[in-house]
Amino acid sequence: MSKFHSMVSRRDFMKGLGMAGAGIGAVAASAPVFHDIDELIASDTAVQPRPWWVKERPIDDPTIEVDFDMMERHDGRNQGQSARVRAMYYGADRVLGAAALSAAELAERTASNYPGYTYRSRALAGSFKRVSPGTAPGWAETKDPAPVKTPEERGEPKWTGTPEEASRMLRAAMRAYGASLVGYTELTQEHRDHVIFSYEKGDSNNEKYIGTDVPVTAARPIVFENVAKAYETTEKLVIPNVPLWEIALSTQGSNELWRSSGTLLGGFANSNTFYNCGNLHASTYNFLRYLGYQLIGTIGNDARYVGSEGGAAIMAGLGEASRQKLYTLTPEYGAPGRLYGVLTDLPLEPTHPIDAGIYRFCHSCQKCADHCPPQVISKEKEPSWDIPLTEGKETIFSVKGTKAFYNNLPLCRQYSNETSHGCRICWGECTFTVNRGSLVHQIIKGTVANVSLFNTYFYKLGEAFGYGADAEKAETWWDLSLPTLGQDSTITAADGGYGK
Amino acid sequence: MWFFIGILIGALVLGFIWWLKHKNLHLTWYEWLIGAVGLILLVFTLQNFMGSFEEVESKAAYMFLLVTGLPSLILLALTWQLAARRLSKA
Repeated sequence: MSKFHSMVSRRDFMKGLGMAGAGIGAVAASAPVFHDIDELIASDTAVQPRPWWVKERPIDDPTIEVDFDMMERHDGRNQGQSARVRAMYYGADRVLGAAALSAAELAERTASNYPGYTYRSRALAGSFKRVSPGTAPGWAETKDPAPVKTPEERGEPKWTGTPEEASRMLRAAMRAYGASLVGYTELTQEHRDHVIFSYEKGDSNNEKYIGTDVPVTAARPIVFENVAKAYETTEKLVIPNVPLWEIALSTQGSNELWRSSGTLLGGFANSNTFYNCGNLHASTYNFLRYLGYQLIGTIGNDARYVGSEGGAAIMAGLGEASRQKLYTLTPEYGAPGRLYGVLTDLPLEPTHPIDAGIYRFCHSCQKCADHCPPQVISKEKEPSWDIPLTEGKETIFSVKGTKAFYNNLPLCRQYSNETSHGCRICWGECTFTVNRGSLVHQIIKGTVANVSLFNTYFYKLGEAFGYGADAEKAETWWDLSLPTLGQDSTITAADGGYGK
Repeated sequence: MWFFIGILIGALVLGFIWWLKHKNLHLTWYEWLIGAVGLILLVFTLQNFMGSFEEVESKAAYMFLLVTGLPSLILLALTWQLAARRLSKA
Protein backbone atom coordinates (compact mmCIF):
# COMPACT_ATOMS: atom_id res chain seq x y z
CA MET A 1 0.00 0.00 0.00
CA SER A 2 1.32 3.40 -0.88
CA LYS A 3 2.28 5.51 2.10
CA PHE A 4 0.34 8.31 0.44
CA HIS A 5 -2.91 6.33 0.50
CA SER A 6 -5.64 8.25 2.24
CA MET A 7 -6.52 6.99 5.71
CA VAL A 8 -9.93 8.72 5.50
CA SER A 9 -12.78 6.48 4.38
CA ARG A 10 -15.54 7.79 2.12
CA ARG A 11 -17.94 7.53 5.06
CA ASP A 12 -15.63 9.58 7.30
CA PHE A 13 -15.13 12.10 4.52
CA MET A 14 -18.88 12.60 4.08
CA LYS A 15 -19.32 12.81 7.87
CA GLY A 16 -16.62 15.47 8.01
CA LEU A 17 -18.26 17.34 5.18
CA GLY A 18 -21.55 17.26 7.07
CA MET A 19 -19.86 18.52 10.24
CA ALA A 20 -18.20 21.33 8.29
CA GLY A 21 -21.55 22.25 6.73
CA ALA A 22 -23.21 22.26 10.14
CA GLY A 23 -20.38 24.41 11.49
CA ILE A 24 -20.70 26.92 8.67
CA GLY A 25 -24.47 26.96 9.17
CA ALA A 26 -24.06 27.59 12.89
CA VAL A 27 -21.63 30.44 12.24
CA ALA A 28 -23.98 31.94 9.63
CA ALA A 29 -26.94 31.63 11.98
CA SER A 30 -25.09 33.33 14.81
CA ALA A 31 -23.53 36.06 12.64
CA PRO A 32 -25.00 39.52 13.30
CA VAL A 33 -27.53 40.74 10.74
CA PHE A 34 -28.81 44.27 11.25
CA HIS A 35 -32.22 45.28 10.00
CA ASP A 36 -32.15 48.92 11.09
CA ILE A 37 -30.07 51.51 12.95
CA ASP A 38 -31.58 50.58 16.31
CA GLU A 39 -30.29 47.02 15.96
CA LEU A 40 -26.91 48.33 14.87
CA ILE A 41 -26.39 50.54 17.91
CA ALA A 42 -27.43 47.68 20.18
CA SER A 43 -24.70 45.48 18.75
CA ASP A 44 -21.36 44.92 20.43
CA THR A 45 -19.66 45.15 17.05
CA ALA A 46 -20.51 48.86 16.96
CA VAL A 47 -18.16 49.43 19.90
CA GLN A 48 -14.86 51.01 18.94
CA PRO A 49 -12.33 48.19 18.89
CA ARG A 50 -8.79 48.86 20.11
CA PRO A 51 -5.59 46.95 19.42
CA TRP A 52 -5.25 43.80 21.52
CA TRP A 53 -2.44 45.19 23.67
CA VAL A 54 -4.47 48.18 24.93
CA LYS A 55 -5.63 47.67 28.51
CA GLU A 56 -8.40 49.62 30.23
CA ARG A 57 -7.84 51.44 33.52
CA PRO A 58 -10.41 52.61 36.09
CA ILE A 59 -12.37 55.79 35.36
CA ASP A 60 -10.39 58.97 36.25
CA ASP A 61 -7.17 56.94 36.70
CA PRO A 62 -5.05 57.41 33.56
CA THR A 63 -1.37 56.42 33.32
CA ILE A 64 -0.36 60.04 33.99
CA GLU A 65 -1.04 60.68 37.67
CA VAL A 66 -3.69 63.34 38.32
CA ASP A 67 -4.38 65.24 41.55
CA PHE A 68 -7.61 67.19 41.22
CA ASP A 69 -6.93 68.97 44.53
CA MET A 70 -3.82 70.57 43.00
CA MET A 71 -5.55 71.34 39.73
CA GLU A 72 -7.19 74.71 39.21
CA ARG A 73 -9.47 75.72 36.37
CA HIS A 74 -6.88 76.88 33.88
CA ASP A 75 -7.13 80.31 32.32
CA GLY A 76 -7.37 79.67 28.56
CA ARG A 77 -5.77 83.06 27.90
CA ASN A 78 -2.50 81.84 29.40
CA GLN A 79 -1.05 79.49 26.85
CA GLY A 80 2.25 79.23 25.07
CA GLN A 81 0.91 80.29 21.69
CA SER A 82 -0.17 83.67 23.04
CA ALA A 83 1.90 86.66 21.91
CA ARG A 84 1.22 88.27 25.30
CA VAL A 85 2.54 85.21 27.17
CA ARG A 86 5.57 84.84 24.89
CA ALA A 87 6.39 88.52 25.39
CA MET A 88 6.35 87.99 29.18
CA TYR A 89 9.29 85.59 28.81
CA TYR A 90 11.09 86.77 25.66
CA GLY A 91 10.13 90.41 25.23
CA ALA A 92 7.85 92.17 22.75
CA ASP A 93 10.66 92.89 20.29
CA ARG A 94 11.46 89.23 19.74
CA VAL A 95 7.77 88.28 19.49
CA LEU A 96 7.03 90.99 16.94
CA GLY A 97 10.21 90.24 15.00
CA ALA A 98 9.29 86.62 14.26
CA ALA A 99 7.53 87.34 10.98
CA ALA A 100 10.60 89.04 9.51
CA LEU A 101 12.81 86.06 10.41
CA SER A 102 10.26 83.68 8.92
CA ALA A 103 10.10 85.69 5.68
CA ALA A 104 13.89 85.82 5.43
CA GLU A 105 14.19 82.05 5.83
CA LEU A 106 11.46 81.49 3.25
CA ALA A 107 13.29 83.70 0.76
CA GLU A 108 16.63 82.00 1.41
CA ARG A 109 15.26 78.47 1.12
CA THR A 110 13.22 79.34 -1.95
CA ALA A 111 16.31 80.78 -3.64
CA SER A 112 18.37 77.68 -2.87
CA ASN A 113 15.56 75.29 -3.96
CA TYR A 114 15.72 73.63 -0.53
CA PRO A 115 13.72 70.35 -0.32
CA GLY A 116 10.13 71.16 0.51
CA TYR A 117 10.50 74.73 -0.81
CA THR A 118 10.32 73.98 -4.52
CA TYR A 119 7.75 75.72 -6.69
CA ARG A 120 5.24 72.88 -6.28
CA SER A 121 5.78 72.72 -2.49
CA ARG A 122 5.13 76.45 -2.14
CA ALA A 123 1.98 76.02 -4.24
CA LEU A 124 0.71 73.09 -2.17
CA ALA A 125 1.28 74.61 1.26
CA GLY A 126 0.29 78.13 0.26
CA SER A 127 -2.97 77.07 -1.35
CA PHE A 128 -4.52 75.48 1.74
CA LYS A 129 -7.99 76.92 2.32
CA ARG A 130 -10.22 76.21 5.26
CA VAL A 131 -13.68 77.09 4.05
CA SER A 132 -16.18 77.64 6.85
CA PRO A 133 -19.48 75.77 6.40
CA GLY A 134 -21.53 78.95 6.13
CA THR A 135 -20.97 80.10 9.68
CA ALA A 136 -18.34 80.50 12.36
CA PRO A 137 -19.53 78.04 15.01
CA GLY A 138 -20.46 79.58 18.33
CA TRP A 139 -20.31 78.32 21.92
CA ALA A 140 -23.69 76.57 21.65
CA GLU A 141 -23.95 76.91 17.85
CA THR A 142 -26.31 79.84 18.20
CA LYS A 143 -24.88 81.27 14.98
CA ASP A 144 -26.03 78.44 12.69
CA PRO A 145 -28.39 80.17 10.22
CA ALA A 146 -30.28 77.03 9.24
CA PRO A 147 -30.12 74.37 11.94
CA VAL A 148 -32.17 71.16 11.73
CA LYS A 149 -35.48 71.16 13.57
CA THR A 150 -35.53 69.94 17.15
CA PRO A 151 -37.97 67.15 18.16
CA GLU A 152 -40.13 69.87 19.72
CA GLU A 153 -40.27 71.76 16.45
CA ARG A 154 -41.02 68.57 14.55
CA GLY A 155 -43.71 67.52 17.03
CA GLU A 156 -42.19 64.27 18.21
CA PRO A 157 -40.57 63.21 21.49
CA LYS A 158 -36.80 63.53 21.93
CA TRP A 159 -34.70 60.43 21.33
CA THR A 160 -34.26 58.24 24.38
CA GLY A 161 -32.15 55.21 24.98
CA THR A 162 -29.62 53.82 27.41
CA PRO A 163 -26.24 55.56 27.77
CA GLU A 164 -24.65 52.53 26.09
CA GLU A 165 -26.93 52.87 23.08
CA ALA A 166 -26.35 56.63 22.94
CA SER A 167 -22.58 56.12 23.08
CA ARG A 168 -22.57 53.66 20.18
CA MET A 169 -24.99 55.77 18.15
CA LEU A 170 -23.03 58.99 18.61
CA ARG A 171 -19.73 57.28 17.84
CA ALA A 172 -21.12 55.79 14.63
CA ALA A 173 -22.55 59.17 13.57
CA MET A 174 -19.40 61.14 14.38
CA ARG A 175 -17.24 58.57 12.60
CA ALA A 176 -19.46 59.06 9.53
CA TYR A 177 -19.03 62.85 9.84
CA GLY A 178 -15.23 62.60 9.95
CA ALA A 179 -14.10 61.75 13.50
CA SER A 180 -11.73 58.84 14.07
CA LEU A 181 -11.45 57.92 17.77
CA VAL A 182 -14.38 58.89 20.02
CA GLY A 183 -14.61 58.51 23.80
CA TYR A 184 -16.62 59.97 26.65
CA THR A 185 -16.27 61.16 30.23
CA GLU A 186 -18.93 62.25 32.67
CA LEU A 187 -18.53 65.90 33.65
CA THR A 188 -18.39 65.34 37.40
CA GLN A 189 -18.36 68.13 39.97
CA GLU A 190 -14.60 67.54 40.27
CA HIS A 191 -14.22 68.18 36.53
CA ARG A 192 -16.41 71.31 36.74
CA ASP A 193 -14.37 72.67 39.66
CA HIS A 194 -10.88 71.80 38.35
CA VAL A 195 -10.81 70.86 34.66
CA ILE A 196 -13.06 73.23 32.71
CA PHE A 197 -11.18 76.37 31.66
CA SER A 198 -11.98 79.53 33.61
CA TYR A 199 -11.60 81.65 30.46
CA GLU A 200 -11.80 80.93 26.78
CA LYS A 201 -8.70 81.63 24.69
CA GLY A 202 -10.83 83.85 22.47
CA ASP A 203 -8.75 86.50 20.76
CA SER A 204 -6.21 86.68 23.58
CA ASN A 205 -3.34 85.39 21.40
CA ASN A 206 -3.46 88.60 19.38
CA GLU A 207 -0.28 90.66 19.42
CA LYS A 208 -2.25 93.78 20.39
CA TYR A 209 -2.56 92.42 23.94
CA ILE A 210 1.21 92.30 24.54
CA GLY A 211 1.89 94.05 27.82
CA THR A 212 -1.78 94.59 28.63
CA ASP A 213 -4.69 92.80 30.26
CA VAL A 214 -7.00 90.96 27.88
CA PRO A 215 -10.51 92.47 28.10
CA VAL A 216 -13.46 90.11 28.69
CA THR A 217 -14.86 91.08 25.31
CA ALA A 218 -11.76 89.49 23.73
CA ALA A 219 -11.68 86.37 25.94
CA ARG A 220 -14.77 85.68 27.97
CA PRO A 221 -15.02 83.87 31.32
CA ILE A 222 -16.63 80.41 31.25
CA VAL A 223 -19.26 80.27 33.98
CA PHE A 224 -21.80 77.76 35.27
CA GLU A 225 -25.39 78.94 35.69
CA ASN A 226 -28.67 77.36 36.77
CA VAL A 227 -30.17 77.36 33.30
CA ALA A 228 -31.25 74.52 31.04
CA LYS A 229 -29.37 75.51 27.89
CA ALA A 230 -25.86 76.77 27.18
CA TYR A 231 -25.61 80.30 25.81
CA GLU A 232 -23.11 83.06 25.19
CA THR A 233 -23.06 86.83 25.45
CA THR A 234 -20.32 89.29 24.54
CA GLU A 235 -19.03 89.00 28.10
CA LYS A 236 -19.44 85.35 29.12
CA LEU A 237 -19.81 81.75 27.98
CA VAL A 238 -22.36 79.83 30.00
CA ILE A 239 -22.43 76.12 30.84
CA PRO A 240 -25.77 74.99 32.33
CA ASN A 241 -25.79 73.29 35.73
CA VAL A 242 -27.31 70.10 34.34
CA PRO A 243 -25.83 66.60 33.96
CA LEU A 244 -23.27 66.79 31.16
CA TRP A 245 -20.79 64.50 29.41
CA GLU A 246 -17.63 65.39 27.55
CA ILE A 247 -17.07 63.96 24.09
CA ALA A 248 -13.37 63.49 23.35
CA LEU A 249 -12.58 62.90 19.70
CA SER A 250 -9.73 62.86 17.29
CA THR A 251 -9.37 63.62 13.62
CA GLN A 252 -6.54 62.14 11.63
CA GLY A 253 -3.28 63.37 10.20
CA SER A 254 -1.06 62.28 7.34
CA ASN A 255 2.08 60.49 8.54
CA GLU A 256 3.98 61.19 5.33
CA LEU A 257 3.33 64.93 5.59
CA TRP A 258 4.29 65.02 9.28
CA ARG A 259 7.54 63.25 8.44
CA SER A 260 8.29 66.14 6.06
CA SER A 261 8.28 68.52 9.03
CA GLY A 262 10.87 71.25 8.89
CA THR A 263 9.65 72.11 5.39
CA LEU A 264 6.57 73.77 3.91
CA LEU A 265 4.98 70.34 3.48
CA GLY A 266 5.48 69.70 7.19
CA GLY A 267 3.66 72.95 7.87
CA PHE A 268 0.90 71.78 5.57
CA ALA A 269 0.66 68.58 7.65
CA ASN A 270 -0.88 70.70 10.40
CA SER A 271 -3.30 72.44 8.01
CA ASN A 272 -4.28 69.06 6.56
CA THR A 273 -5.78 67.98 9.90
CA PHE A 274 -8.30 70.84 9.77
CA TYR A 275 -9.96 69.97 6.47
CA ASN A 276 -13.15 68.47 7.86
CA CYS A 277 -13.43 70.07 11.30
CA GLY A 278 -16.09 72.60 10.30
CA ASN A 279 -18.29 69.92 8.75
CA LEU A 280 -17.72 67.59 11.68
CA HIS A 281 -18.73 70.27 14.16
CA ALA A 282 -21.82 71.44 12.26
CA SER A 283 -23.01 67.90 11.56
CA THR A 284 -22.47 66.69 15.14
CA TYR A 285 -24.23 69.75 16.53
CA ASN A 286 -27.22 69.21 14.24
CA PHE A 287 -27.30 65.45 14.90
CA LEU A 288 -27.58 66.09 18.63
CA ARG A 289 -30.07 68.88 18.03
CA TYR A 290 -32.23 66.55 15.90
CA LEU A 291 -32.25 64.04 18.76
CA GLY A 292 -33.20 66.80 21.23
CA TYR A 293 -29.84 67.45 22.91
CA GLN A 294 -27.22 70.20 22.93
CA LEU A 295 -23.56 70.49 21.99
CA ILE A 296 -21.41 72.96 23.93
CA GLY A 297 -18.03 74.14 22.67
CA THR A 298 -16.56 73.97 19.21
CA ILE A 299 -14.90 71.17 17.27
CA GLY A 300 -12.09 72.75 15.29
CA ASN A 301 -11.83 76.15 16.95
CA ASP A 302 -9.50 76.29 19.91
CA ALA A 303 -10.65 79.83 20.74
CA ARG A 304 -13.61 78.24 22.52
CA TYR A 305 -12.24 75.02 23.98
CA VAL A 306 -14.05 73.97 27.14
CA GLY A 307 -10.83 72.56 28.58
CA SER A 308 -7.57 70.91 27.64
CA GLU A 309 -8.41 68.68 24.70
CA GLY A 310 -5.42 66.47 25.47
CA GLY A 311 -6.69 66.00 29.01
CA ALA A 312 -10.13 64.99 27.74
CA ALA A 313 -8.55 62.51 25.32
CA ILE A 314 -6.50 60.95 28.12
CA MET A 315 -9.42 60.69 30.55
CA ALA A 316 -11.69 59.20 27.85
CA GLY A 317 -9.04 56.67 26.84
CA LEU A 318 -8.30 57.91 23.35
CA GLY A 319 -4.62 57.96 24.17
CA GLU A 320 -1.95 58.57 26.77
CA ALA A 321 0.09 61.58 27.86
CA SER A 322 3.48 62.14 26.25
CA ARG A 323 6.85 63.68 27.00
CA GLN A 324 6.17 66.31 24.36
CA LYS A 325 2.95 67.32 26.21
CA LEU A 326 1.39 69.13 23.23
CA TYR A 327 0.28 65.88 21.69
CA THR A 328 -1.52 62.92 23.20
CA LEU A 329 -0.28 59.65 21.78
CA THR A 330 -2.92 57.17 20.61
CA PRO A 331 -2.17 53.48 20.09
CA GLU A 332 -3.60 53.69 16.57
CA TYR A 333 -2.04 56.87 15.23
CA GLY A 334 0.80 57.91 17.50
CA ALA A 335 1.20 61.69 17.40
CA PRO A 336 -0.48 62.81 14.13
CA GLY A 337 -4.06 64.01 14.24
CA ARG A 338 -6.00 66.55 16.20
CA LEU A 339 -7.97 66.28 19.44
CA TYR A 340 -11.15 68.02 20.52
CA GLY A 341 -13.38 68.03 23.56
CA VAL A 342 -16.99 69.24 23.58
CA LEU A 343 -19.88 68.86 26.01
CA THR A 344 -23.36 67.43 25.59
CA ASP A 345 -26.40 66.72 27.77
CA LEU A 346 -27.05 63.42 25.96
CA PRO A 347 -26.38 60.80 28.67
CA LEU A 348 -23.36 58.74 27.59
CA GLU A 349 -21.50 55.73 28.92
CA PRO A 350 -18.00 56.89 30.01
CA THR A 351 -15.09 55.13 28.34
CA HIS A 352 -12.07 54.09 30.36
CA PRO A 353 -8.56 55.57 30.32
CA ILE A 354 -6.10 53.22 28.66
CA ASP A 355 -2.70 51.75 29.32
CA ALA A 356 -0.76 50.83 26.19
CA GLY A 357 2.60 51.49 27.87
CA ILE A 358 2.94 54.71 25.88
CA TYR A 359 3.50 57.21 28.70
CA ARG A 360 5.86 54.76 30.39
CA PHE A 361 7.73 54.51 27.08
CA CYS A 362 8.07 58.31 27.00
CA HIS A 363 9.97 58.12 30.30
CA SER A 364 12.75 56.22 28.49
CA CYS A 365 12.45 57.76 25.04
CA GLN A 366 13.42 61.34 24.33
CA LYS A 367 13.53 61.23 20.53
CA CYS A 368 11.26 64.29 20.29
CA ALA A 369 13.50 66.19 22.73
CA ASP A 370 16.70 65.16 20.94
CA HIS A 371 15.42 66.52 17.64
CA CYS A 372 13.74 69.68 18.98
CA PRO A 373 15.63 72.61 17.37
CA PRO A 374 15.03 75.13 20.22
CA GLN A 375 15.43 72.34 22.84
CA VAL A 376 12.19 73.14 24.65
CA ILE A 377 11.13 69.56 25.42
CA SER A 378 12.01 68.16 28.84
CA LYS A 379 14.82 65.61 29.02
CA GLU A 380 14.06 64.66 32.61
CA LYS A 381 14.05 60.93 33.33
CA GLU A 382 10.91 61.11 35.46
CA PRO A 383 7.83 63.36 35.35
CA SER A 384 7.15 65.72 38.23
CA TRP A 385 4.29 67.37 40.11
CA ASP A 386 6.35 70.57 40.34
CA ILE A 387 6.19 72.96 37.42
CA PRO A 388 9.67 74.44 36.88
CA LEU A 389 10.22 78.16 36.34
CA THR A 390 10.45 79.41 32.77
CA GLU A 391 13.28 81.87 32.15
CA GLY A 392 13.30 82.47 35.92
CA LYS A 393 9.63 83.40 35.98
CA GLU A 394 6.46 81.62 37.07
CA THR A 395 5.18 79.21 34.44
CA ILE A 396 1.63 80.40 33.86
CA PHE A 397 0.85 78.38 30.72
CA SER A 398 0.93 74.84 32.16
CA VAL A 399 -2.02 73.18 33.88
CA LYS A 400 -1.24 72.21 37.47
CA GLY A 401 -2.16 68.88 39.05
CA THR A 402 -0.59 66.28 36.78
CA LYS A 403 2.70 64.43 37.20
CA ALA A 404 4.06 65.47 33.85
CA PHE A 405 7.06 66.45 31.78
CA TYR A 406 7.01 70.25 31.46
CA ASN A 407 8.10 72.03 28.33
CA ASN A 408 8.83 75.62 27.41
CA LEU A 409 5.76 76.11 25.24
CA PRO A 410 6.17 79.88 24.64
CA LEU A 411 9.65 79.25 23.19
CA CYS A 412 8.23 76.35 21.15
CA ARG A 413 5.73 78.70 19.51
CA GLN A 414 8.21 81.57 19.26
CA TYR A 415 10.71 79.37 17.41
CA SER A 416 7.91 78.02 15.17
CA ASN A 417 6.88 81.54 14.25
CA GLU A 418 10.48 82.49 13.48
CA THR A 419 10.73 79.70 10.90
CA SER A 420 9.01 79.60 7.53
CA HIS A 421 7.69 76.07 8.11
CA GLY A 422 6.22 76.13 11.61
CA CYS A 423 8.64 73.41 12.87
CA ARG A 424 6.55 70.52 14.35
CA ILE A 425 9.57 68.28 13.88
CA CYS A 426 8.71 66.41 17.10
CA TRP A 427 5.46 65.15 15.53
CA GLY A 428 7.34 63.56 12.65
CA GLU A 429 10.12 62.27 14.89
CA CYS A 430 7.93 60.59 17.51
CA THR A 431 8.68 56.87 17.82
CA PHE A 432 4.95 56.17 17.58
CA THR A 433 4.51 58.01 14.26
CA VAL A 434 4.81 54.83 12.20
CA ASN A 435 2.76 53.14 9.52
CA ARG A 436 1.50 49.56 9.46
CA GLY A 437 3.49 47.94 6.66
CA SER A 438 6.10 46.28 8.83
CA LEU A 439 5.08 43.65 11.33
CA VAL A 440 7.73 44.90 13.73
CA HIS A 441 5.65 47.94 14.75
CA GLN A 442 2.83 45.76 16.08
CA ILE A 443 5.33 43.51 17.89
CA ILE A 444 7.07 46.48 19.50
CA LYS A 445 3.82 48.20 20.48
CA GLY A 446 2.56 44.94 21.99
CA THR A 447 5.82 44.52 23.90
CA VAL A 448 5.89 48.14 25.10
CA ALA A 449 2.37 47.75 26.47
CA ASN A 450 3.42 44.86 28.69
CA VAL A 451 7.16 45.16 29.37
CA SER A 452 9.15 48.36 29.91
CA LEU A 453 12.53 46.62 29.98
CA PHE A 454 13.24 47.19 26.26
CA ASN A 455 11.92 50.77 25.98
CA THR A 456 15.31 52.48 25.72
CA TYR A 457 16.45 49.83 23.23
CA PHE A 458 13.38 50.39 21.04
CA TYR A 459 13.90 54.16 21.17
CA LYS A 460 17.51 53.75 19.99
CA LEU A 461 16.41 51.19 17.40
CA GLY A 462 13.97 53.72 15.92
CA GLU A 463 16.85 56.17 15.53
CA ALA A 464 19.17 53.58 13.97
CA PHE A 465 16.55 52.43 11.48
CA GLY A 466 16.03 55.97 10.22
CA TYR A 467 12.39 56.50 11.20
CA GLY A 468 11.39 60.11 11.61
CA ALA A 469 11.38 63.46 9.86
CA ASP A 470 13.60 64.36 6.93
CA ALA A 471 13.40 67.34 4.58
CA GLU A 472 14.12 65.09 1.61
CA LYS A 473 10.82 63.28 2.26
CA ALA A 474 9.04 66.47 1.17
CA GLU A 475 10.22 65.88 -2.39
CA THR A 476 9.76 62.09 -2.60
CA TRP A 477 6.21 62.68 -1.25
CA TRP A 478 5.09 63.89 -4.67
CA ASP A 479 5.64 60.48 -6.24
CA LEU A 480 3.67 58.54 -3.62
CA SER A 481 0.14 57.24 -4.12
CA LEU A 482 -1.46 57.84 -0.72
CA PRO A 483 -5.01 57.53 0.66
CA THR A 484 -7.47 60.41 0.38
CA LEU A 485 -6.15 63.36 2.44
CA GLY A 486 -3.07 61.20 3.02
CA GLN A 487 -4.87 59.72 6.04
CA ASP A 488 -5.39 56.00 6.71
CA SER A 489 -9.01 55.98 7.84
CA THR A 490 -9.15 52.18 7.88
CA ILE A 491 -7.09 51.94 11.08
CA THR A 492 -10.22 52.08 13.22
CA ALA A 493 -12.34 49.91 10.89
CA ALA A 494 -13.21 46.52 12.34
CA ASP A 495 -16.07 45.65 10.01
CA GLY A 496 -16.57 45.56 6.27
CA GLY A 497 -13.23 43.96 5.55
CA TYR A 498 -11.39 47.30 5.66
CA GLY A 499 -9.15 46.65 8.65
CA LYS A 500 -5.85 44.94 8.00
CA MET B 1 0.36 37.64 -0.69
CA TRP B 2 1.47 36.33 2.70
CA PHE B 3 -1.13 33.58 2.37
CA PHE B 4 0.71 32.29 -0.72
CA ILE B 5 4.10 32.78 0.91
CA GLY B 6 2.82 30.71 3.85
CA ILE B 7 1.70 27.94 1.48
CA LEU B 8 5.07 28.08 -0.33
CA ILE B 9 7.04 27.84 2.92
CA GLY B 10 4.79 25.02 4.13
CA ALA B 11 5.37 23.15 0.86
CA LEU B 12 9.12 23.70 1.09
CA VAL B 13 9.27 22.46 4.68
CA LEU B 14 7.13 19.44 3.78
CA GLY B 15 9.35 18.75 0.76
CA PHE B 16 12.43 19.03 2.97
CA ILE B 17 10.98 16.52 5.46
CA TRP B 18 10.08 14.13 2.65
CA TRP B 19 13.57 14.54 1.22
CA LEU B 20 15.11 13.70 4.60
CA LYS B 21 12.93 10.58 4.86
CA HIS B 22 13.69 9.58 1.28
CA LYS B 23 17.42 9.86 1.97
CA ASN B 24 16.94 8.25 5.39
CA LEU B 25 18.55 11.24 7.12
CA HIS B 26 17.75 12.49 10.62
CA LEU B 27 18.29 15.84 12.30
CA THR B 28 18.90 16.20 16.03
CA TRP B 29 16.47 18.24 18.16
CA TYR B 30 18.84 21.21 18.40
CA GLU B 31 19.39 21.21 14.63
CA TRP B 32 15.63 21.40 14.19
CA LEU B 33 15.43 24.21 16.78
CA ILE B 34 18.23 26.32 15.27
CA GLY B 35 16.85 25.76 11.78
CA ALA B 36 13.31 26.73 12.83
CA VAL B 37 14.54 29.91 14.54
CA GLY B 38 16.57 30.75 11.45
CA LEU B 39 13.58 30.18 9.16
CA ILE B 40 11.22 32.26 11.33
CA LEU B 41 13.81 35.04 11.44
CA LEU B 42 14.19 34.86 7.65
CA VAL B 43 10.43 35.16 7.09
CA PHE B 44 10.31 38.00 9.65
CA THR B 45 13.10 39.75 7.73
CA LEU B 46 11.31 39.34 4.41
CA GLN B 47 8.05 40.72 5.80
CA ASN B 48 9.72 43.75 7.37
CA PHE B 49 12.00 44.33 4.37
CA MET B 50 9.03 44.48 2.02
CA GLY B 51 6.82 46.25 4.58
CA SER B 52 9.43 48.95 5.10
CA PHE B 53 9.55 49.69 1.38
CA GLU B 54 5.74 49.93 1.45
CA GLU B 55 6.16 52.46 4.26
CA VAL B 56 8.74 54.36 2.15
CA GLU B 57 11.36 53.68 4.84
CA SER B 58 14.21 52.37 2.70
CA LYS B 59 16.87 52.73 5.40
CA ALA B 60 14.74 50.64 7.76
CA ALA B 61 14.33 48.03 5.03
CA TYR B 62 18.09 47.59 4.59
CA MET B 63 18.63 47.66 8.36
CA PHE B 64 16.30 44.67 8.63
CA LEU B 65 18.49 42.79 6.15
CA LEU B 66 21.48 43.52 8.39
CA VAL B 67 19.96 43.17 11.86
CA THR B 68 17.65 40.18 11.39
CA GLY B 69 18.40 38.90 7.87
CA LEU B 70 22.09 38.19 8.43
CA PRO B 71 21.54 36.29 11.72
CA SER B 72 18.80 34.25 10.05
CA LEU B 73 21.19 33.13 7.29
CA ILE B 74 23.90 32.38 9.85
CA LEU B 75 21.48 30.20 11.84
CA LEU B 76 20.35 28.33 8.71
CA ALA B 77 23.96 27.86 7.61
CA LEU B 78 24.83 26.65 11.11
CA THR B 79 22.07 24.04 10.96
CA TRP B 80 23.28 22.87 7.59
CA GLN B 81 26.90 22.60 8.70
CA LEU B 82 26.05 20.87 11.98
CA ALA B 83 23.98 18.27 10.15
CA ALA B 84 26.42 17.87 7.25
CA ARG B 85 29.48 17.39 9.50
CA ARG B 86 27.65 15.01 11.83
CA LEU B 87 26.39 12.91 8.93
CA SER B 88 29.75 12.86 7.17
CA LYS B 89 31.35 11.40 10.33
CA ALA B 90 28.69 8.71 10.58
